[in-house]
Amino acid sequence: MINLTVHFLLKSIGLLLGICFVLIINLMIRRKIEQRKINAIEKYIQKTKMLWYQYFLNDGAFTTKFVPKSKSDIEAIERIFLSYLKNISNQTVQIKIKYFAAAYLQSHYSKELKSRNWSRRLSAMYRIADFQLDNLITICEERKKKCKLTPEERFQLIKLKSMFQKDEFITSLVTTEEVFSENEYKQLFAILDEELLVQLLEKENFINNYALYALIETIAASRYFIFIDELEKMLQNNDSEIRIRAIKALENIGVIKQLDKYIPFVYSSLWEERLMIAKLFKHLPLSYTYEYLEILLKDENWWVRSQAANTILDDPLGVQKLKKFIQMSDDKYAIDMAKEVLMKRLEAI
Amino acid sequence: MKILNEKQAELLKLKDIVPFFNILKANISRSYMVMTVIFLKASTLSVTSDYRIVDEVENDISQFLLSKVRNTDLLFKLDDELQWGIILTQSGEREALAFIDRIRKIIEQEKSPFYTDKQYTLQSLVVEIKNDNATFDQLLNNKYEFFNQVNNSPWENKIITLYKTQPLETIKVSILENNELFRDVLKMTIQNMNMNQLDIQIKLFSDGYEFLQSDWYYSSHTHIVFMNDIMPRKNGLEVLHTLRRMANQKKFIIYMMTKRNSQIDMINAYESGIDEYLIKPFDLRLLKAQLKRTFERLWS
Repeated sequence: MINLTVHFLLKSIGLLLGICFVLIINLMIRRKIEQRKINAIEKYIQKTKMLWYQYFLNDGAFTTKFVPKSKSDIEAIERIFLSYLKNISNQTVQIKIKYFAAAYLQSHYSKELKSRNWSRRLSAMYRIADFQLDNLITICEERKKKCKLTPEERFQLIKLKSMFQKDEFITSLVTTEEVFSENEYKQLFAILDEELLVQLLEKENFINNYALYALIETIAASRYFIFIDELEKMLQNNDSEIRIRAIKALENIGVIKQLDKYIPFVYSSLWEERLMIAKLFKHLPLSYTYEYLEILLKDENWWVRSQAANTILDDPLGVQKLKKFIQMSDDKYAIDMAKEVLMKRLEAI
Repeated sequence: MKILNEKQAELLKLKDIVPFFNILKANISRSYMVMTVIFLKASTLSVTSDYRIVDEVENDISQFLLSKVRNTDLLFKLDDELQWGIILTQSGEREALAFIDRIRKIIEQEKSPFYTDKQYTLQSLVVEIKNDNATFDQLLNNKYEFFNQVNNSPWENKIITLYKTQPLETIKVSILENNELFRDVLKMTIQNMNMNQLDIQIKLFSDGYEFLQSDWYYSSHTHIVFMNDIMPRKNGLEVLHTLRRMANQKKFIIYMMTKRNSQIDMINAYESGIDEYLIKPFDLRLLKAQLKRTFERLWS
């Protein structure tokens, strides 16, 4: 049995209470500081929001009231600028923000980039992108050489290059050992112009598969005709994922130059390829594709059969063709699918 | 010349037209439907006192005008000799002038389809009515003054703008946006638009719930709603569905502001009932142009 004296217990309780008291005081002080900061931000916003509006959108004069005097002011300015940049598309506003940030915020962000706290460094990198402070990329590069960056920082750095150092961006992407997720690559490629996408496509053998998948998706979303030839070349690729995405991209663009290139996919062993081909054929008249769509309508896969029936119905002669198929065919599954799709379509009308 | 009368329109008498006029006038401010009254007088330089000829000419001209007015227009005979009136519903001054120009061309090309022995011309008085201050008696006085001034001169046309002033119209504007700064920017932008004859009342809401909890959207005023698609508590689509289920949902003109730029998102939004789609970030000049067109379209 442990012997505890009353005196010891009282001392322990007193100590614990003392610690709790210190923690509470600490929390209260922090809360007070936070509240003061919120109030200071709000005060700056209320004091200047009308002036910023006039300055940005009505050729209002620049005033010294804009110049930040504290970190709270900088945070308030960030909020104001981001509200404009994320919601309003106006080149004059972007230029004014860029010049203001270069004059009054650049030194703050260059300090933040050297901070030991990674979240502050990352926030500074985001603001460099938002306010187009391209001068600060060199500081990020130097930091990359000196110490290890977090994956988020490395991604943000390459994103900054895609925005401000387009010439170096492709080289960096090809030479880097860093592998990003497909979604991250999509974010990078979404802001590239047509010319850079073409250059990147020429380097398809030097970029990793995730990047290539993201590139095909970006091209598909852009719907530029100039990529059709390159995408058609990808139909010969050994990677089935690339072939499927290439067909999907071509379907999205909606132009088929040579039907012969697509016929082998009607007989593909992968149902995904057969499905995408059935979808792609809606961009050609039924007179060219019906014999292949009939094969796909008899496919073993439900999705392929369904898509083939829908593609047939998208053609003006589709209803007639499908009714004839129902009468003439001896494939029960195909007939069921044709009937189901036909009925749904007629009901929708 | 034989005039085919394929229309169902019929020639009304002056006493019959006044109730119609009053109903249409009452609809002006309620449904933003402008109307225009045209008074026509046929005249010739050749003087004739033969009442049979005058009757024949009046009949011919009446048939001719009946064949040219729309089913929605009201043609009536004035008590004075060789004078008619036409009420063009849902039509402004421009349509009225186009109508007069059209019948003038027909008459000139066909060398007067009514009464071939004499060359008749038409004098017209066009009165666009955009407010409910005008009375039919006032219009008749205007007509009387004008037709007394013109002395059988060929093809004279006068426009009266006395009743063209729109009544001050209250338009409610709600801005549902969770970003307070952007909300204020939108408010100031709309406030700075110089829209004559419109009393624009703007209210700001931080989300859909706050808007739906208010009684701001219950009145019968035309109500323009700018709303973000993503908002806390109740999002834009929920607000849209609530508004479009209301009995008087047509009064709402809904602008959806969103970051979603895919065609399928746009199609879904339009099919759900939005009127305009603004992809963020958007140019405020685009918003102002769209809003200006919305205000202009209110008056048909």
